[in-house]
This record gives sequence, C-alpha cells and structure tokens, in this order.
Amino acid sequence: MEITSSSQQKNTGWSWHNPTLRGWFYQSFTIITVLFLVYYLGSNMIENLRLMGLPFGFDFLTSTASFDIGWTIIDYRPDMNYWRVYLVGISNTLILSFLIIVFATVLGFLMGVVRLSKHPLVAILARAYIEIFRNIPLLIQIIFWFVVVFLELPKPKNSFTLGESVFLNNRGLYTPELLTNSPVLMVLLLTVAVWLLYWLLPSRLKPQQSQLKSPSEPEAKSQAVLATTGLKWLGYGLMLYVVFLIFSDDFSWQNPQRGRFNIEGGLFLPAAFCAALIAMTVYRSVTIAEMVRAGILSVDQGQKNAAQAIGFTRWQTLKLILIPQSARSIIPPLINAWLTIVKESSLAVAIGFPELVSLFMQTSLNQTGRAIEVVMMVMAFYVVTSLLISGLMNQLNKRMQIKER
Amino acid sequence: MTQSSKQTQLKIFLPITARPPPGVADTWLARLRQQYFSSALSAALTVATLFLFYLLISPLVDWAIIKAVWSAADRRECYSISPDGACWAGIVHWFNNIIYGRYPDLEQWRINLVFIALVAWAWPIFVSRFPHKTLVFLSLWFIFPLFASYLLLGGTHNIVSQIFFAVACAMVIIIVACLVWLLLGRGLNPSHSSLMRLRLPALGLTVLAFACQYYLVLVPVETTRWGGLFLTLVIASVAIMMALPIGILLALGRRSSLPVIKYLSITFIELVRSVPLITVLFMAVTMLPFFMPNSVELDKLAQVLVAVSLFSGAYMAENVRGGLQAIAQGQTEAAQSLGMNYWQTMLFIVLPQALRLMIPNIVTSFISTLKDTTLVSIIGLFDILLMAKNMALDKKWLDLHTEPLVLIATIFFVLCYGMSQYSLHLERKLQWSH
Amino acid sequence: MEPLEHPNQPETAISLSGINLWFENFHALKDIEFEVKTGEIVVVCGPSGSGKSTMVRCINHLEQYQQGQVEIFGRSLANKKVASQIIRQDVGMVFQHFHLFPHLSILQNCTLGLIHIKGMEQSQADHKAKILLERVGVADLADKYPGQISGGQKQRVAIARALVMDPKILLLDEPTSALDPEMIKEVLDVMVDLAESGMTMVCVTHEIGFARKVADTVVFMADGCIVETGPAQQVLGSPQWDRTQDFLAHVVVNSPATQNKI
Repeated sequence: MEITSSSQQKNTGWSWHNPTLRGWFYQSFTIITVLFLVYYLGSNMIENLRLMGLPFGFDFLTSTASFDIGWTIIDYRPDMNYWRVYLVGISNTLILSFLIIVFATVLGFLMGVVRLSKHPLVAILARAYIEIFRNIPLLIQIIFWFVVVFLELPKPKNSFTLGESVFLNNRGLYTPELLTNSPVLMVLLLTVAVWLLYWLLPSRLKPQQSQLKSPSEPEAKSQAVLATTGLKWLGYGLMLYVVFLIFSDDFSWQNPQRGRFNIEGGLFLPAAFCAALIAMTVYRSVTIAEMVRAGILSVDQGQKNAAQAIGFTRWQTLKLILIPQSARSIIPPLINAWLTIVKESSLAVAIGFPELVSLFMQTSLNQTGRAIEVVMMVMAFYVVTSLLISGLMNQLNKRMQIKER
Repeated sequence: MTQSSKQTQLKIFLPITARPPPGVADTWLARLRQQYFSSALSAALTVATLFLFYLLISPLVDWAIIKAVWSAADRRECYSISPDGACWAGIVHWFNNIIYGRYPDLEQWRINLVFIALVAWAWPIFVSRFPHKTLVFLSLWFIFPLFASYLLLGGTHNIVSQIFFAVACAMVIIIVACLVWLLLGRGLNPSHSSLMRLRLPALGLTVLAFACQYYLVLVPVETTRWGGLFLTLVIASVAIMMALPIGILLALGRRSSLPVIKYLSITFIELVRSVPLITVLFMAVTMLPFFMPNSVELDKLAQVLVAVSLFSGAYMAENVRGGLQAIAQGQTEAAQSLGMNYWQTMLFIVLPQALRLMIPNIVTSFISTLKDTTLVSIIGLFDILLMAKNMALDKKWLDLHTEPLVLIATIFFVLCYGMSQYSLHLERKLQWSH
Repeated sequence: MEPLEHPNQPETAISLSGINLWFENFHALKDIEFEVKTGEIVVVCGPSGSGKSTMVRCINHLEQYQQGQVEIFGRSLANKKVASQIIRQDVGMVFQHFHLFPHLSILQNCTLGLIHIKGMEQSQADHKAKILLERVGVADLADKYPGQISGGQKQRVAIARALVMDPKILLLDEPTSALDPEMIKEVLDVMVDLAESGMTMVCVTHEIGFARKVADTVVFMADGCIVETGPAQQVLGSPQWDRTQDFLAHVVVNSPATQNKI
C-alpha cells in the first residue's frame, strides 16, 4: 500500500521531509531570530543609555541613598548606600513573607478541618468565608484593611491599650521589645537550621535506632554515619548554648511609653505592615484550607472504615490516619503556596510598606534612573528564592514517598 | 442426585416488595432537632454560629441599608443626614466613572455596542443547538478584536481595518439572525451546504456595512481616557486571548525534542513564573522604553497588555502541558501512523482534545487574570480600583474610602464567583460527555 | 491451637431484628432477622447486590440502618455512645481490600490501636502484636510496609490487626475476593484456624469449600432479603429454595477457588 511504503521509506538526503534536517532548520532559525532580537534590543538600549548619560554598571550601588526608610529590621541610616537599601528591602520582604507563611498555614489547616464538619451551619459559614475571601482580589483586600480598618483607628493620643504596654492606633501597633546584647536570636536560628538539615538527610545515613533491624538492610558507610551523628550532637550543643544564654545574660524589656505627640519606644509595627499581614494571611489561608480539605478527602474511604472498625474516634482517625496520609498530597501544593506568598508580599507596595519592590524598584529606580540594573537585581532575588523553595519541595517529596516494592 | 425429584420440592422465592423509605424525620421539628441539635456539641455549635452570624451581619445591614444615604449633593450632606450610614450617594454620582472611566459621555454608546456584540457573538458557543461552534469561536478570536478596537479607538483607520470591521458587522448580524431563528423554534441545519448558502447574504451585508462605515465618523478616544470596569475587562480579555496561543506554543516548545527550543521555552516559563506580576509590570513600564528606538513612543496600555499577556501565557503553558500529558501517547502514534506530520497531529488530533479537557482550567485562569488586573492601578492605569481610590480625592466626596471599595469588591465577587460556579458546571458536564 | 477464652458469654452473640435500610430511595435491606450464637461460624453468601455486605456492616454500625434493632451479647446498640463502646470492645472486622495504613509499618499497623485505644505501653503492644503476627504466619514482615508485601500477606496482617484488639466477634467482608487465586489458600488456612479455636465469625464469602469445611450456619441472601438460613450441610447440599439452588449451581461450577481442596 502506498501509505505504508512512503512512511517506511527512509527520509534521508537534502529534502524537507527529512525530520533531522527539519529539526536543525527550526533550531537554527530560532537561534538566529533570538540573536537578532538580542542585537536589536541591545543596540537600542546602548544608544538610549548613551543619550541619557547613564552607562550600564552596578557602581551606583556604592552611592549614598539619602532617603529615610520608615521601618527596618536591620540597621539603616540615610547615609548608607544603595546596596544597603537592597538588603533592607530583602530583609523586610522576607520577614513579612515568613510571618504570613506561618499564620496562613496555621489558619489554613484550621479552616480546612472546619470545612470538613457536617454541621450545616458550620459548613455554610466555612463556605462563605472561603468564597468571599477567594473571589475578591487581594489588592482590594489589602487596601481595605489598610484604609478602612487601620487608618480609622484612633489617633495616638487615644490609642487602644492593653495594660499600658501594648498600644494600637492609626500609626500602627506598639509592643514591648526585647533588648539584648547576646546573640541569642542568631543562635536560636542556627539551632533550627541545624535540626532542619538533620531531619532532611536521608535516614540511611543516620545511626539506626530501631530494635527490629532487618538483616537485609546494610549499614551505610561509617563515615557518613559519623558525620550525621556529629551533626546531631552539634544540634544538642547549640540547644544547650541557647538555654545558657537565656539564663545568664542581660535581658531587658523596653515598653512603649506615651510621648508628647506619639508613642515612643518598644517594638513598632506600622499600620501598613499589620494590614498587609492580616490581608495576605486571610487570603492565602483560603487556598491552604482547600488544599488540606482536598488532601484529606482524597484518602481512600476504606481507611476511615478500617479505623472505625478498630475503634478509633473521629478525632483519632483524623490525627493518626487521615492527616499523615494526606500530608503526602498536601505538602507539594503547600510549598507552592509558600512561594506564592513570597511573590505576593510585593503587593504591600500599594500601601507604602517598604519592601523590596517599593524601596528598590520605585524609590531607588526613580532616584538613580538605572532601570535595567535595578530590575535585574530585583528579579534575581525572586528567581533565587523560587529556585531554593522548589529545591526544598523536591527534596521533601523524595523523603515522603510511600515505600513501594 | 435425582435433580428432578429435588426440583419438585423447591420452594419458589419471591423477594419482599421494596417499600419507600420512611419520611425523613416526621415533623419539621424533629428534622430540625436531628440536624442542628443532635448532640451537646452540635447544639453549642448551632448557637455559636447563629450568634456569630448576628454579630457580623447586623452591623453590616445597619450600615449598608438601614442607615444608608442614597441621595445627597456631597459628603458633608451625607454626614449630616446619617453619620453612621453608608454614603451611597457618592457612588451614584461616580457610577458612570467607575464603569466607563473617563471615556467621553457622548461616546459611551460605543462601549455598550461592543459589549452587546461580544455577548451576541459568544452566545452560540454556549448554546448546544448552534452548529459550527469552531467557526464562531475562531472568528471571535481573530475578527472581534479588530471590530472592538475600531469602535473603541475611533478616528481614522486604514483600508484593511475598515474591511475587517465590515466583515465583523456582517458576522454579528448573521449570528444574531441565527439566534433569533433558533428562538423562534426553528432548527439550524449543521451541514456544510447550509453554511455555504449564507455566502451571498454575508457578502452583501459586508459591502453594505463597508459603505455605511465609510460615512461614519467616530470621535477618536485615546487609551489614556479608558478606565474603570471597561478598562479592567479590556485588559483581562486581551490577556486571556493572547495567553492561550502563547501558552500552547510554549507548552509545545517545552515538549519538543529539539534542545534549543525546549530549553528556551523552559527558561522563559520558569523565569516568568518565579517573579511577581508587579515586577513584570514595573519592568514593562520602566525598562521597555530603553529597548525601543528613541523615535518610538509606546502607549502605556500597550506595554501593560504585552506584559500581562506574556505573564498569563507562561502560566497557561503549564495548564496546557497538563492537558497534553493527559492525552494518551497512543493518539500521537495513531495520527503519525496515518501519515500526519507533527503540526497536523497537533492541530487536528491532540490540541482539540487537550483543550476540551482544559476548559475548566482556562476559566479558572481567566478568573485569576481578572483579579490580577487590579495591579495595573499601582502603575497608574485607571482601572476600576484606581477609579474607586480616586473618588476619595474628589473635593465633593473627600475621604470617602469604604463605599467605593465595597462596591468594587462586590462587583468582583459577583463576576468571579459566577464564573467559578460556571466552571464547576462545565467540569460536571464534561465528565458526563465522555 | 489454644481456643480463645471468653467465658461467661451469653448464648446469643449477635441479634438483628427488623432491620430495614435504604440508600436514598433504594430499599437495600428488607425486614432482616438474623441471629448468631456465641462461637458459631456463619457464612453469608449471595449474588452481588443482595445486601450481604450491607447487612454485615450494620452489625458494627459502618452502615446506618433506618429501622430495626441490633444487639450484641444482649446489649442493644440503640444509644450511639454505648454502641461505639460495645463495638470497639467486642467486634473486629476484616475488609475485602485490606485497608492497611500505608504510612505505617506492619508492626505499627497492629500496635496503633493498642497504644491509642487500649493505652498500652509501646513494648507491651509490640510484644502482643508480634505474637499475633506469628500466629498468622507473617512475623518476619514486621518492619516492612504495606506497599512492599503481597495481597495474601496483607490480608493476613489485616486479620492479625483485627485480632490484636481481642474481639469476641470477627466480621469478614469477602476477605479473599480481591486476592489472586494462588494466595487465597494461605488466607483461608488462617480463617479455618481461627474458626477451630472458637471465635464467633460472620463471613461474607464466595468460598463454598470454606463454608462446607468450617461453617456451622449458612445464610443465603438475595434482593435484600434472607432467602434461606440453616445448617451448612443442609443449605449447601439440599437447599429448599429455587434461588439458592440456582446460585449454588453457578458458584460451584464457575469458581476455580472452590476446586482448591482445603
């Protein structure tokens, strides 16, 4: 038959029907187009930069910023350079994202479990919560919390107060601050990092603890086991150091006080920060709640039957059997949600919170005019963060595989 | 075993007749008790949630309806009539701006006309008895935008867009006629020949429309005057319209066996997905002028449309990739054994099936894009959010923040919730159609 | 094997009276009257859709019946709180699809209930679980995970998991229907062993050979009703109803498993 013979016929030689040749043609065509585009855009860019007197380069990072930033967690003064501004932006973004991640995950898990309730009124309330906060754009919610809630709070003179040590007014939230010279916070963070690393390592490399050793599993190389044991002892040592620091060193609490026009001292969380935190926590908790619910529902119904037959209560079934199994399907999208939170934190620019986009892409860019360098640096931060978080997710996925034959 | 003697002794089994189930708890009181008060915990929850409803809803109703002011000249008057109530009077005054932006009042009929034409043009896709849906869909994708931009931008146009406009007018009239035909209870013949019969009327209508528009002078309206809900919908529609072909190309590129194309696609997709939309918008507005020759002046709206389209396209690529993976490998192999090449296989076999699977995902994508359009307010485009914020700067309605935000939140809620319910409906329908 | 010691039990282990169950508008169980004596082995058989699994699942309240009464050892299950207490203590179940907990090892599958419901210490629970795993012949699999073992082994673990809670009644819902033919024998052997040790068992199965060997009573169901019930030899050998006769003729002829000489 003609069809089979023509398809069997080897397509070689310089003909359009030769797939390899076609492939090379497409690829060369693409490369040439891309190179041409780069050349065209590049030459335009160089020309425009020359006309504006702005040579391409990162030397502007050493010049003085000379503007003030309303809220920082690392030291900053207006006489520092733009590189410092970049770091302040990153640290503000990270602290905001971290807090949102923590609160949104907790709230999301709670709402997910509530959503599983069979009580008709509770189900309606949970559904309403989810639909309302999901279908209104996040930016509107952020602006709403800021403008309608926080800016309507009383002036500093008439702040809401909790025992004269916590103040809430239209500038923000004031709480007592921990002042210390010891590196206790850094050591605490280091301890957490070490334990996290230990937990992530594959269990083959760790010293066996189970009494029921099956003879078929060989012990891993002793050097690796030694290394992980060392890591474990480092973790214990750091924990002891933290305890020592807590008990030995100089700690003082600084309470906010009523000044003449304002509250002074203490830890200050500006209204923009609080509004952004609340709005984004609520918004993301909805997605996380749906993930949790879908994960738990995806566990085979038979597991619930078996649990009930053995005699577990509903709560025990949830805790011991459903949630551990659903963790496998919840964790990957959960980590994706965390990544989305870091990206979404940039929306705080709309209410004036000094995070990276606001400080670097708006203020610094406007002052220096170095659009290309600034955009590259900001994008670099987000790309690196994405890669790190995706890497974390892949590693976690590998660890959580249900052991198959 | 004497089977026959055994059989004579066997009793004939007649199953008990099935009865209807007992009434779901006899009285409404018993039903109430069963659902809401079946245990101590259940009763406590009932009381707690009812109390919570009361706490949340009664102040809202109080503010928004009972004490609200619907007509006043300015904010001061609102305040004096009812200080605790919503000042909807301001919304009434600004309503036109919130919907149409700063589009001249006298020309707003053009926006309405475009919207009605869109509804009429898109309607056949959702009506099951209408044939040739692919033709309608493709024409909607390619011809309608030209029709819309002709009307919305106004001014003078070159001969090509004039012709397209005429064709579009003809199509709208034909489609509306078919819809009316269907409404009157007559059926539409799905055969190819009946479509061919429309050739002559279509040509006639086109010529007529061309002649009419020759004498039509539309006032030009620059894109800087576009705003409000109108601008939001324009951005969202263009973004989703461009996102689909971009997404398909990127997804195909990602699955390609040619390394150059594959790695370029992957790099582009992953880069775009790693960064927030606001940075892409800022980049478009600040960086793009550097890459254009000095003489070219870029329209801000055009920059934003390109940025949002590419952004949505990268996300759409992942959706399409999911759909492509779901179509069994066997389909590609079957097509190629019939002698089809790569593009024929993709266009006629794989993509139609993948896209049908993806329709619920595409609707979800549109909802996200619609919500994301609010970000353009940050870079100064007067979408519905920025119009609402600007209301508070109007001297007459100074500091009126809450009411406009509540209004646009409600508008978005209605649109997004409606579309998500429709997408659920589509998913259910598609499940059964296989 | 030592018989399971449950002295001083009332004579009637399970009693279902007037059970009617509807799924939406479908009348699944019609006026069921069913009794099981202590130590009795009952096999329930019938065509699919007859309601046999549904009836057995009513005993431990895995299905909600709308009318009727269930009593276990003379105590009514009408009150929900009392019912779950009784069921937890006295009734165990083995499922067609095993339903082992995939995220736990075999040993942990068995000890989970002992630790969290009976409040045992870890070492005590491990010890007891190992004895039972030994008894069903899977002691060497204690550290493996359900995804790593065969169907027959999984079902034996499921039986051990149910036995570890010391039930006085064991319900089995088509325990061998999901197994490959070569693994059916190992599970049936365990079930025979259990039956001979004096456990009260209600087993839904198609394995007529098993019924013939150990069952005291056979119950045949069709269309949501109990058609025939009586001593195994009588129902299987000389049934009184035409439906029973038809069913048995089909099962004996078609099932390869019954060719297994147990």
